[in-house]
Amino acid sequence: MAFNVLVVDDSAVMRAMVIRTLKMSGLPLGEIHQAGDGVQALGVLNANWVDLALVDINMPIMNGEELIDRIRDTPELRDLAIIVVSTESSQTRINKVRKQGARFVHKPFTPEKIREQVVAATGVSYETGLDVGAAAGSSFDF
Amino acid sequence: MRPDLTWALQQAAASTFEQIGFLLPESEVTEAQAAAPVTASSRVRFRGPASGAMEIEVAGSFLPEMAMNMLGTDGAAGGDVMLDALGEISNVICGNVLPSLTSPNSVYDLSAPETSSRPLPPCATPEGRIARVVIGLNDGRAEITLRLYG
Repeated sequence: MAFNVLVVDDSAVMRAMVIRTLKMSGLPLGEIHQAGDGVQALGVLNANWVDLALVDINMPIMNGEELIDRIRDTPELRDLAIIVVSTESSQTRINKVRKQGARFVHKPFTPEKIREQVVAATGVSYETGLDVGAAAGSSFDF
Repeated sequence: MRPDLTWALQQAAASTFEQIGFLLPESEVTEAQAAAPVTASSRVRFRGPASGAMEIEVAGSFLPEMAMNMLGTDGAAGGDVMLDALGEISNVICGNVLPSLTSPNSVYDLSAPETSSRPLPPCATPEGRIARVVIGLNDGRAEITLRLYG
């Protein structure tokens, strides 16, 4: 089974880094969609089947918190697996995101952290191309 | 200046340039690094229990290399890509240093990075500066300032 993924971040460079990390993680990827804010993301979600969304918090027009609220309020989307990837350090806001049913990865992140949360969010286990033992001893972070 | 914030800013900046930009930060700046002209800047404003901005100016020629490192590609990075990369670097540094400003539970809203291929304009309220660090990067440097408004 291949996963269709949506990456939402206002930085094109960070979207590229997240997608590169997903590819390195070994997740069987199908279609990869991108959006620069929450409004664009809702447009993508309404027009495409998406299995997993990786969402930044601080974005213009519609931020990640509001986007997740809108997703959870939409019957067709409310069960979407969501991982928030953010510089957010406030435990208050991180707890709120978790109460919204999303998982959290702090920037900077490692491929292992992304993979761990993808496995938890999707409920699937998959083969990885990473040498986890070697990577764990390196400083290969994003 | 708050020494604890200076230390936190130094740690956040060094780890971000190393882990995201794949550069090797140096705490000591050489004369050549100090003399390099500023090539780009970024400002991230924050609002919450305290309001202010984190500003960064970079000097030297490492920005194209850093952008390519972040993208994981070879070739030349366009100006927009380089500024986007610098903006994301400033966003991550700011997000990681803010818990040291007040408390780990404080909630801050961050603006989108305001980037430019020029130095930042002189600030009208230099007394708002509460932490500043300079780190060496390749043939240049990054000057990072944390500033409070009001």
